Amino acid sequence: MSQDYRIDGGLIDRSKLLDFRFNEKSFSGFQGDTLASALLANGQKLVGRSFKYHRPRGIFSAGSEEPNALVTLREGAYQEPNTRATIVELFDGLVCKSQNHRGSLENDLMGGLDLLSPFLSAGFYYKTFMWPRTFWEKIYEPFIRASAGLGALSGLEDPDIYDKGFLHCDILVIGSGASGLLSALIAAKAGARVIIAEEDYILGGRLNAETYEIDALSSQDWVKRTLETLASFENVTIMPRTCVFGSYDHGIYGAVERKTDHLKSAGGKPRQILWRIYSKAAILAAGSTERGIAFGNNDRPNIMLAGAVRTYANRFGVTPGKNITIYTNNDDGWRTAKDLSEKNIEISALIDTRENVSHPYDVDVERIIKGGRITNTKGRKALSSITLSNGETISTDCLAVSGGWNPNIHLTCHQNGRPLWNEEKSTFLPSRNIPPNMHVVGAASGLFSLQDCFHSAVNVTNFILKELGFDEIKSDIPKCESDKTNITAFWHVKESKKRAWLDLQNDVTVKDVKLAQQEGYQSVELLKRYTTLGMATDQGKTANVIALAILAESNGKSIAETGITTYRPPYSPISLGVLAGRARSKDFRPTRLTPSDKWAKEQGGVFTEAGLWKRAQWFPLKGETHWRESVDREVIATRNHVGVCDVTTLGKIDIQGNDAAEFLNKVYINGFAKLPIGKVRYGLMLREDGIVMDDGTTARMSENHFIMTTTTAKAGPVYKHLEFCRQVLFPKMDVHLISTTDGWAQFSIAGPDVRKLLLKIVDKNHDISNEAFPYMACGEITICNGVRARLFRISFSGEHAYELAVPSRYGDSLIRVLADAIQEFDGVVYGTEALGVMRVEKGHAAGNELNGQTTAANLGMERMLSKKKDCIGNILSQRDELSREDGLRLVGFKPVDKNSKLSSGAHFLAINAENNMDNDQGYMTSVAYSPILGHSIGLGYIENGSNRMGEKIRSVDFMRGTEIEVEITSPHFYDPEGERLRV
Amino acid sequence: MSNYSLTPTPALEGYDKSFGSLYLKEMSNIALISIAVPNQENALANLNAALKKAYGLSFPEAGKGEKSSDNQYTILSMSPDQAFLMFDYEGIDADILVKNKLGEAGYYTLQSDVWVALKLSGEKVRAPLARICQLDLHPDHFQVGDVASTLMEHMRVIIYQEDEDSFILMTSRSYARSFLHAIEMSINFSLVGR
Repeated sequence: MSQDYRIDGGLIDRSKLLDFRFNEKSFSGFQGDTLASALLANGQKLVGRSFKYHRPRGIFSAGSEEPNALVTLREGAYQEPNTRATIVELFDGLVCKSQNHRGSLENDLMGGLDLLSPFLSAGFYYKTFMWPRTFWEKIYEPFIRASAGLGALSGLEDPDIYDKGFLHCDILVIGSGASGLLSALIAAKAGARVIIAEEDYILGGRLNAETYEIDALSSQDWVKRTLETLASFENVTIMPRTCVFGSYDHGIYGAVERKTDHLKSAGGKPRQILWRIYSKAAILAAGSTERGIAFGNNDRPNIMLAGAVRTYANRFGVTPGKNITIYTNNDDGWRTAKDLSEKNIEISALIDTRENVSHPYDVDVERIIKGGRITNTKGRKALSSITLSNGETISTDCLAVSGGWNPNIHLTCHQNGRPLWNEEKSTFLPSRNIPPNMHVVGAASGLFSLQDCFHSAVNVTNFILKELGFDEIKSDIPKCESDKTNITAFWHVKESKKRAWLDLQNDVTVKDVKLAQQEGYQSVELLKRYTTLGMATDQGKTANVIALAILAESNGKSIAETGITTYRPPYSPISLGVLAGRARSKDFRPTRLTPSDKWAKEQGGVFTEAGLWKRAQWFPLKGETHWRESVDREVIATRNHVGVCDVTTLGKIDIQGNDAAEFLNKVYINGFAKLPIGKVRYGLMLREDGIVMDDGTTARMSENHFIMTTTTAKAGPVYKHLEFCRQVLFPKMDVHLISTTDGWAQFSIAGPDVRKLLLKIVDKNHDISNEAFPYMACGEITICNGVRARLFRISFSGEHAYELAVPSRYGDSLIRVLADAIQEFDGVVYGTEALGVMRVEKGHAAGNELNGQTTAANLGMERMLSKKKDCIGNILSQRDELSREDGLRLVGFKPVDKNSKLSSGAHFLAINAENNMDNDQGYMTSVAYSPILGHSIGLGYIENGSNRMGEKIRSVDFMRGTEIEVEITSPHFYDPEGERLRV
Repeated sequence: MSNYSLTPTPALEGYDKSFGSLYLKEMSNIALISIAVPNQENALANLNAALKKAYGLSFPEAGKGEKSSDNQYTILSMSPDQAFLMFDYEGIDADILVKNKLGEAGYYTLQSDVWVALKLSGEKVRAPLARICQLDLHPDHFQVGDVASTLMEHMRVIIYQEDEDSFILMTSRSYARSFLHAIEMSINFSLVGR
C-alpha cells in the first residue's frame, strides 16, 4: 500500500524505507515510525476487534496508554500477543496480525455479538451463568473464553533471552520530556550521578510532538541540543526504551529496558533487561495522559485523542484523516486545531463543549461550534460522520477528542499514596504521601504549561541537590511561550442515547457504570471489579477518571469523595519473561557439585538433588534394569566387603577458641567439655523451643579446636544458629566459627575390608590399628605419600567405617584412587540410596525423622540430655507435653507379611480401629527394602513405641490407598549390639 | 609407601579466557587463610603486631583490604574480628605456615579449597558485574582495596577490588561451575551495551 496519509515533517528518516506485514498484507513505513504511525500512514484505520462485543476498533492514542490497537507481533515461538502498536518501533520485516476475531478482521464472524449487547451488561456473567452450576466449568466458561479476549500465546517455549541487573544513582529521572530533561541537566551539572529513563525509543516526551519554540529553537532541536549536552557528562546514564514500572521501598525502582525489541532478531542477546535501580532521590517527570469524552458510539476507528492526532502529524508526518473534526473541553484541543491547520490539514469543525470560550489559540478553522454536543457517530469500519445534539450531521473521517489531561501519578501511589482531586484542573494530583525521596515535576504534578514545567524542574531539582549535599545550580529557565490550559470538566454527553464507551479495551460503557451503581456497587473499588473497568492491559489510563466522574455523579457525590482505585505496579504491561530473567531451566538456581561429580558422571551415576547439591543416587552396572538391583548390590557389597560414598555435602564447621568446648556444651544437649583430643562424639542440638534442630558429630582436633559436622540440609541453618549463639547469646566467649564444608572432600569408607583398603593409601607412619585408632577416634594423617588428610572413625552404615577427608583439590583424584583400590576387595562406590538403606537398617535418624517437630525424647535420646549442664532448648524441652512417657517414640516397623511393602507417610492405627484422626497413633517416616533382611523395613513415630515391641498394628497410607499389617520392632534392624563397628 | 598418588585439580581446571577487552581467569594457586581475632584483652593489638612483623600488614577495618609493600600478601577484613590472608602458594599447609609466623596471636583455618577465586578485569568490567552484583561498584563508591560479602545469583560471593578495573570474586568451591556460568553469561549479555 502507498503511504497516502503521509505529510511533510516529523522525526522520521524518509531515506530508510521499512517493509512490514499486517494480517498478511504488505505495508511500508520509515525509520522512526511506530507500527501505529506506519499503519495510519497507509490508511489502515481498522486494526482490531473489541474485547467483549467484537466492535471494530482503530488506533486511539500515540503512546503506552493505548487501549485499542493491540496486535500479535512476530511469529511462531516469538509471537507476542497484546502488543500496543503505538509503542512498537517499526523495523524492516516486522510481521503482525490483529486479534480477537473469527474470520477476517474486516468480517469478524463474532461481530454479531454486538447485537446482543442489551443482554451483555455489567455483571452479566454473574447473573446469567448461575444455573445449572455444573455447566460453568464445562460449557459456559470455555465458551466465554473462546468468544472474548485478546491475543493468544504461541503455546511454545519462549525462545527469547531476558536478563536483569542493578543500577545505582543519586537521582533517577523518570521521563524525558521538558521537565525531565531540564532536571537531568541541572543534576548533571551539579555532579550528581543521574539516570534518565524514558519509555519511548527517543527522548523528549511531548516535545517531540509539539511545535514549541524554546530558546529560539524548535522543541525537537532543543531536545537534541540538551541530549548532546547530557551525553557529554560521564555522570549521566541515558536509558531510552526503558519503562520505570514500579516504585519500591528504600528508593528502589523497577525498570524494564527493551534491548532488542526494535530489531528483527535479538541475535542471541537479551531481548529485555529488568533493572533494579537504587536511587537516593527520584524525579517523576512522567508527563500526563489525555482522556476522552463519552458520547454515543465514541469507539469507532479513527476517533482518537486530540493530542495523539497532533503527535502523528508533528512527530511522524502522518495525518490520521483528511477531514478532521476536533472535540474538546479545554484549550489544548485548540492547539491541535492550530497545528493541523498550519499543516494544511482540512478541519471540518472545532467543537468546544464550553459555551463561553474565547479563542485560546488563533486557528484557521472555518467552523467553530461552542457548547457543542456530539450524540452519535457513524461508520462501521471507520468513522464517516458525527451527529450533534441539534441533529446536524458533519461528515468527517477522523475525530480528535480531548477531555483534558491526567497527570501520570501512578508511581506516586505505589507505596500506598492516595492522590487528591483538584477541581480547578479537573484531575487527580499527587498527594504529600508519595514514596520517600520522590519528587514530582512538570505535567505529572499538574503543571500543563511548558513554562511552568521548566520552573518546577529547576526549583525541585535544586531542592533535591541541596538535600543530597550538592551545590545549587543557577539555571536560566528556557524561554518559551506560555500555554493556555483552561478546562471546564465535561465527562459525557447526556443527550446521547447510544452506548458511550469509557473503557475501550474492556468494553465498559457509561450505562455499565450507572447500572453497577444502581445495583449497589457504589464504591469505586467494587465498581472496578463488577464492571472490569480499568482491569485491562492499559489499566484504564484513558478511562478511569471519566468513569469515576460518572460514578460520582450517579452517587450524588463529588469526585474527591468518590476517590480513585489503587495504582499498583507495573505502570505499563511487562512480560513475564523479563521478570523471570535468566532464572530459567537449569539457570533457575545454582547447583553445587561434589568433588566426585566428574568421576560419578563418567560412571553413569544416577543423580538426585539434595538441596542445591547434585549427589549420585546409585551407580548402575551393565545389565541392571531396575534401581533396586543397583542399590541392593551396593548395600550387600558394602556389608560384605567395602563401600565408598562421597559425603562431602555434610556441613563442616571449624570451631576454635579458648571457650570452644564450653560453647559446644551450650549448643549440644550432651557434654563435650571432656571429650578427649583425638576423639569424635555424636551430638544432638536443640532449638530454643526444645525441638531438635540437627544432629551430627564433632571431633576434637586439639585442646581448643573442634570440627563439627552437620546434616547436608542443615549446614547453613546450623552455622547461622551458631553465629547467633556466639555473637548474641555468648558474646564474651572466646570462640570463632568458619565453614569449611567446601574445603574438604570427604568420603565414607565402610565394610569389613575397610582397614585393608585404608592400609593401601594411608601413609605408613600412621597407625590405624583398632588399638591405635579405635571406634570414634580422629586425627590428622597423610595419605598417598604425603597428602594432608583427616581421618574420623565414625559410621553411619553400622559397619566398621571411617570418613576420610582431603583438601577438595584432591577430591577427584581420591575417588579415582579409592575406586581402583576397592576392586581388590570386590568393593563398590555407593550412592545416597544405599546410604539411606543402611542407615534405616541401623536405625539412625535423618532428615525425615529430624523434621522440625520432634524432640530428643521422641528420638529415644532423652537420656543424652546432660543434667550436669545447661544447653539451648533444655528448659522448653521439658514441657509436660513434650516429655510424656507415652508420647511418640522412634521405633522400627516390619511388615507381618514379608512380601508387603511399607510406605513412608503412612499412619498407624490399631487393628480394629476406625480410620480417623482420633485413632491416629503415629506415622512412618522412612522406609527401605533391606537386602540383608530380605524384606521391607521402616522407621516411624508411634505413641508409647518403646513399650510396644512385638505389637501388631495397621499401617494405612491414605495417599496411596494402601493398608498393611505391621509389627513394632526395635529401630536397630542390623547389628543391634554394634559389634561390627568396633573390630 | 602407598602405590597411589593424588593429583590436585583446580575447581575450574585453571580457567582462563578473554572476552574482547575483558579477561576472566581462575586464581588456582592461591592460599587463603582465615585469621580470627581471639576474644581476649589486647588480642587485636597482638595480632596487629604479629602481622606487621611477619608480613608488614595490619588488620584492616571491616570491608577493607590491604596489600603488603611487596604485593605478595593481601589481607581482606570481612568483619571486625575475622580476615582472610591471601597469597600465592601451591601447597595445602598454608594455615600451618601462617600459624608458624603469627603464633598464638590468632586462630587460623585453611580456606584455600573452600573457595574458588576468579579475577575479572578490563576497562568495562563493571558492566557484567552490574548484571549479578547488587553493590554499587562505581569508582567513587567502591574503590581499590574495598572488599565486601554479597550475593550473586543466590551464591555468597566475596568481591575485592584489587586494582582500578580488576575485581577478585570468590564463592564456595562447590558452586564453581554455576558461578563461572553466571559470570560468562553476564559478560556475554552485557556486550550489547550498558
